[in-house]
Amino acid sequence: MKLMTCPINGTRPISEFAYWGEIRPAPDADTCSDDQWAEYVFHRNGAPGVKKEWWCHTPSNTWFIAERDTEKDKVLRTYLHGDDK
Amino acid sequence: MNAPFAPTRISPLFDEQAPHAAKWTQVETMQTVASFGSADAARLPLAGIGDLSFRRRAGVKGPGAAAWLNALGIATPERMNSWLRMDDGTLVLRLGNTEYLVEDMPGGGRTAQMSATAPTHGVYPVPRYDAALIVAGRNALELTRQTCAFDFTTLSPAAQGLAMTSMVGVGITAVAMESGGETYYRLWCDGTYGGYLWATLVEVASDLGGGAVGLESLGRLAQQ
Repeated sequence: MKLMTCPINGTRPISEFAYWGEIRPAPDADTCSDDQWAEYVFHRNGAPGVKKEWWCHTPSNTWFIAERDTEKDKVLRTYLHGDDK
Repeated sequence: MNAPFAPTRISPLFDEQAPHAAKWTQVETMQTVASFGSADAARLPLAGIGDLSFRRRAGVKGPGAAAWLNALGIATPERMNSWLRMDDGTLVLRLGNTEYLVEDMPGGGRTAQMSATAPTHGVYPVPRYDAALIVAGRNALELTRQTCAFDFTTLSPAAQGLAMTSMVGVGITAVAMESGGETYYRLWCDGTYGGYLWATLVEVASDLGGGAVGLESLGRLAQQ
């Protein structure tokens, strides 16, 4: 069984979680160029590596960040937004 | 138990229960099954599933929620994902960090007090339309093992922890309680999923010698 660790609720089956994609800071829509905006809207980085991703523990609606090595599909750590120390 | 006026609330489990109900009653203005038949009493010691949706509930969340509840005289658990029972029987669940679910005993007025009090800064009311179930009997733990990946043995009544997990695909909040030395479980889920959860648990319970149990046979369990 594949497992994920929620910072609040602990380690649970992956079926209790929803993946919401890589964290991608949006450029300032008022000042960025069209190319920068198009890059943000349409392009995704598919290269394997360690990425920060949004995940949600759905029974408790707890949103948190997982740092995951997408090449090995290994979760390195999880934490709540703002707890990245 | 029967009030002298028509029920104004319907259990979220009504559609699933109605074809099997033998006798109805009314609690807290909610129409509730008093009995599913003569087998109720025999099911309960094995794997009884009961409906406690009639209890009044209120939710609140936000950074100011604990202080707001305390100002109303409602105690709050110190640990995340834990629960406490106040002296008047009111059940207070701390869901995660800053969200609380308060459930009245029959006749209690804590939730009405919450509804009548304006929230302060950092306090956000959470409407609760839960289906509330009780799972009791010596096969209750086996029932959870067949329906949920979470290990319910980690929910000891003494530790007063709670789990938010998934049971037969439905997001639930679960706690373990004790009555007469026997552990039983209380479950809450969104009311719209309640019928499915009820029907599935009753089906599994029937394989374990139990099934649906009406309020009359729940007896003391329904009063705790």
